[in-house]
Amino acid sequence: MRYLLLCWFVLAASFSDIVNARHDAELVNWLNQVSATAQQNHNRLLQEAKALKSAVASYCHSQQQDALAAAQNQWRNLMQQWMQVVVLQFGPLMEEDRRLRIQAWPMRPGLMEKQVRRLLKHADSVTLGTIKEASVVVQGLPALEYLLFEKSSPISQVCPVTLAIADHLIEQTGILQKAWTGDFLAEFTESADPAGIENNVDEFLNGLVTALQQISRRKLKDPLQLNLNNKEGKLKELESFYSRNSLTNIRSNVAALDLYLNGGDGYGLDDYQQAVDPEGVTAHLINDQLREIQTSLNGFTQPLESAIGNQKQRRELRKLHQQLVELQFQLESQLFKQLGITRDFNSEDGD
Amino acid sequence: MDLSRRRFIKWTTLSTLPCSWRFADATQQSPTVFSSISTSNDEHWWVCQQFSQDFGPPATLAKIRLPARGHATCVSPSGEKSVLVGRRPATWMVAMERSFDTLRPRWITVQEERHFLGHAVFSQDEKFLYATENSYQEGRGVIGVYRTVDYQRIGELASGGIGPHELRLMPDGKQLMVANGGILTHSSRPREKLNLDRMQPNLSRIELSTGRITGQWYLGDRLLSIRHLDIDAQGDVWVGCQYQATLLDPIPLVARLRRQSNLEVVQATPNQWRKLNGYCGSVACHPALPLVAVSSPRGDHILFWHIDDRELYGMVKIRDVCGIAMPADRAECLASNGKGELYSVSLDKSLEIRLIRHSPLKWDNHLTTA
Repeated sequence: MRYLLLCWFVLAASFSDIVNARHDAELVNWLNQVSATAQQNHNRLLQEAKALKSAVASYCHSQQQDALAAAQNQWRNLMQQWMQVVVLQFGPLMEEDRRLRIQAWPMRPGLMEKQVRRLLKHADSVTLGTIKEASVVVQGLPALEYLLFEKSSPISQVCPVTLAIADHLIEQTGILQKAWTGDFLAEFTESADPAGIENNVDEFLNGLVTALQQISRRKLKDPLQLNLNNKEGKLKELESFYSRNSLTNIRSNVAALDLYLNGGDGYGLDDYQQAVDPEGVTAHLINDQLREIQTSLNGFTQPLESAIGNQKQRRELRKLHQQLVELQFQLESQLFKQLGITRDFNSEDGD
Repeated sequence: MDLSRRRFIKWTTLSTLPCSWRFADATQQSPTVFSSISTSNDEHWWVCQQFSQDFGPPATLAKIRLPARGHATCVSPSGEKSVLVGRRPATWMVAMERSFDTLRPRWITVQEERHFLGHAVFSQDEKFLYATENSYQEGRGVIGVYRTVDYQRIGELASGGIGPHELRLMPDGKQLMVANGGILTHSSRPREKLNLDRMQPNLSRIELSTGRITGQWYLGDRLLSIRHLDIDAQGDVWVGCQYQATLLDPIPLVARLRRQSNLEVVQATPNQWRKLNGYCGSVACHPALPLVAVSSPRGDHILFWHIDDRELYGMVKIRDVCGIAMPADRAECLASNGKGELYSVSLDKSLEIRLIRHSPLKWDNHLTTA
């Protein structure tokens, strides 16, 4: 009897090891897909930053309206690519204030404009070095948006400042791209021990949920004042109100969340679910919620900058906000639990 | 322990090489650690665990189920009494005696139109307990006064501001230092901050015998909510702040009140301030060594300053770290996080990190040792 029990324990332990090893192998597949997507997105981000510099240089050279339109359009392209990257709120993006250097947001209305105007006064002497030493407020995309879309200053002042900021963006996106092809990539994908794998999944998913929380709160609830009845939204607190791009930003964020979670045609949450718990519903619930959010986003016919003052649209925006909050809840309560990871506990809603 | 502590302070004063900070093993007690914890099923407990000297598996001395998340534990000077305050806005505190009689925890319910705000402190003679509270109808902070024989509330003092959070008894035992965070909240909208556009945080000193505010200090930026504080071995007060907006460029978040005169920010470079990410979660001064630790769960770092020169001593990276404690007889800082990890950081210049324990339990914001 004693030997039988011993055999049972040995077999049970071996089976548990096999299950854990398989579970880890599936997580590694997922992390590999995430890193492949991240690499692609960071490569594109750098390319778009370089393209923006070229477009701005062409405009400054020709000073023609169509060249300005091309530069504005390229700013939108870069912004959309940035929206694909900024949802990965962990790793190199969070080092050395890189996220803020590329996009200082949200910020107090008027703060960036004031600091950009100060730079414009000394435009002749503004270089990449000036921008690197300046506040993050003028180092990235919001300042470029203001310079390209607001058009209130003479081109002779706008060009040196815009070109210097564009150079700075090339530098910053280059650092990110390098990290995702070098040291950080190795750290993220080549962890051999289970604790390392779990930690990487933990950081990746916590980063996505932080981004999701920022979308629902910073991009919708706060500027639209959705928590206060009968209040009008605050236009200047929207993410990209000069270019009227705020809704497109959210669409790109959600598309990126979907891509990182589900891997597009590659490995993702649905494959993981199928492999470790085919009867489980977590992936279905999360993906249904994502589809609902995307349907809601597609239903808006106006930019957020117009919808903000329309009562009917505000109702729809409130619904969208709730859907995003619900997605966050499902990720935390279903997926995190299934994976045995915890939401960063002390870093949210602190005391 | 007092004798060894005095000897130790004298020794460190003479020493110029902090890398050799070390306590004799014989003087080290087995550390007792208090914290609120949460499980993955959202159950909340107050635990008291005693570790062996080398931090082997702990013995759980007490484990009390809580109605909601707890926040900070305070322990009386003799170690006989301890109280955990619920996370703000809380309606309860819970007390236990040294016998760790878990069958009879004493629950303390908040008075009408008040909420507990997370921290409390015992008087030197242990006859009274002072707790930070929000008088939410009046929109002002108060310090609730409780007699510890039965934990009845016997009065209150004005805190000197809005949203008092952490408080400490000054070494003379006659004055309280209170971090008035400046943030107005109301029970109808529990965790919403209602006055960010007009907040005025301050550090207030209250004379216990009269309730008089005998000193108030402000920092330059009114969005710097003064939230946590501790008192170092020289009697100076260290405060840690939380910036109440998206912090774009790094700013100093830690200040010291030197000899109760000037509240001055301490030294660090912009890159070092970045590691706090606009948010100090806990401040802990070593009772014997000239070091203070400040944790930031949002920045995943603990920064250490030397109390003599306000210079940054060093920093360590620990994910989601918030709870920190400096046991008096050890040259170590204990640190906990929401990932269930408890670390020891050696206080010699290497600041070596050692994982003591990993469990599925999430440690809440504050860690207390006795």
